[in-house]
Amino acid sequence: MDLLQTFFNWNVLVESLPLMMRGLGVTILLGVTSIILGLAGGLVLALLRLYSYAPIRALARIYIDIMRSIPLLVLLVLIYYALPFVGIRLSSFAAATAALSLVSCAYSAEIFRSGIEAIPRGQFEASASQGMSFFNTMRDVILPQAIRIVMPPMTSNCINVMKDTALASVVAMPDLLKQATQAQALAANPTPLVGAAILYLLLLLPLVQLVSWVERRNAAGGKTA
Amino acid sequence: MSTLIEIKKLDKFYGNFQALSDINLQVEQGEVVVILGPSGSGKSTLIRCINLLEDYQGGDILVAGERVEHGPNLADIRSEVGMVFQGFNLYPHLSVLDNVALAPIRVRKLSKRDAQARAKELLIKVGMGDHAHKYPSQLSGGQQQRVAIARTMAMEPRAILFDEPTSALDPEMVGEVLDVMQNLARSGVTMVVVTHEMGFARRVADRVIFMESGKIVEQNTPEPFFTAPQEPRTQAFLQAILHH
Ligand SMILES: Nc1ncnc2c1ncn2[C@@H]1O[C@H](COP(=O)(O)OP(=O)(O)O)[C@@H](O)[C@H]1O
Ligand SMILES: [Mg+2]
Repeated sequence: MDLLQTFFNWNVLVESLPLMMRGLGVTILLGVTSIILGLAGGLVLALLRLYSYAPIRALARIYIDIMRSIPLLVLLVLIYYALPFVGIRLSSFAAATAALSLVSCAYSAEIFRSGIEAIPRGQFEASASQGMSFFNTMRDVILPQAIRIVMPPMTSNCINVMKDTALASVVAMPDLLKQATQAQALAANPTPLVGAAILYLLLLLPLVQLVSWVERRNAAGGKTA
Repeated sequence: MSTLIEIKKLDKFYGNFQALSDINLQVEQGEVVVILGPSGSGKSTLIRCINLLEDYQGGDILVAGERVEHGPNLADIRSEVGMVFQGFNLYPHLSVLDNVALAPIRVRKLSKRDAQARAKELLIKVGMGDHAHKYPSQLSGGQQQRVAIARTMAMEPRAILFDEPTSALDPEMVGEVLDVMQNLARSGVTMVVVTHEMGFARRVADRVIFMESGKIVEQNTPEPFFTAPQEPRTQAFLQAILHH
């Protein structure tokens, strides 16, 4: 059938598959790197925003607000196309990682903060009253509880980062979407694009379902011991 | 006897509201002091100043000669002054055993094995030896409070502050917690106890302090305090509580 030949052309798919798998690898690498940097940066940012000296707290808040306001694509284009004018020339991978994690850490900071603020004051007081340091209190008492609370929104945020990696194709990053568009141009057939969409779904659908599962479990069981 | 806790001319404000005025109080090593007073009289505020969970604005608090203030010594002082809370405040994500062992590992630098062995002993001492691997949410209030006391004892503090440790408990669980506290008092630990349990105050206290409106109104040894209170406000308070 014609439609099938157009959108699910087997030969085109098989031919473009190696290229697309390489693109998928790049997408995953970019996503995972940005997620890890975003989580680590977000935790530091949340702690600065909550507990540091007033001027630094203010700076953290300004940073978070700016990064949550600027469109990711705009930031990416700025980093990749504008920074070279001041001598900072990043590879497309570095630029994409920077843009994704700069924004992602602002979102994760707010998520971490909401989790930390949800912990009852008595937990901080019990720990302080035993002479525990700030670092130990956070590591052993507060963060394990806070992370449990923010697991669903944090996973959603990670999913968003993974999805937003597709924007990197704009700066000539050979990610899944870029490879697919190139294969499509080469074969003059849109099958690679459909294939890319399916690959994105295979990557992200399980994560989305994980979030719903965690949310359902939390709603049903409260905190399990 | 030597003085362990010394409070001199303490003033404490919440904004413009003066919660404590000119509190002077000494607690000797090994002494058990019970603080009584109507709700809102500043009892919690007073004992929370002793480990600086609340800041104070005037006067001095010394623990073993060291001024209680923000700075590098605060954690040390806090490790020597334990606190038991009305709401237990156990760590819900840790087992009972780990609740007790955590601070000794982190603050006293005990090995995990030593800390857990000691935690087990303490749990046995408070009658919770069989529950070491449960989580706080699986315990009754009285059991949780006994674990909280064991957690505080695990640091081997020189003094323990109790803020209404039985007020959140169902009546049938009050006794088990008071028994543990009484044993603790006998073992020579310095204790400052805010409570409404008059029987405990009479039996266990070396000294009873009555507070009202942020001031110490009267203090005495239990016998004269309960049988012949001097101040009219103390008399009224005891009347109200005993004939309740
Ligand atoms: N965080 C706070 N902010 C403002 N006022 C407070 C705060 N905590 C306590 N107070 C006030 O200080 C007074 C003493 O409170 P508290 O020490 O809790 O009394 P008690 O423990 O004797 O019931 C009360 O009038 C209370 O309303
Ligand atoms: Mg109180």
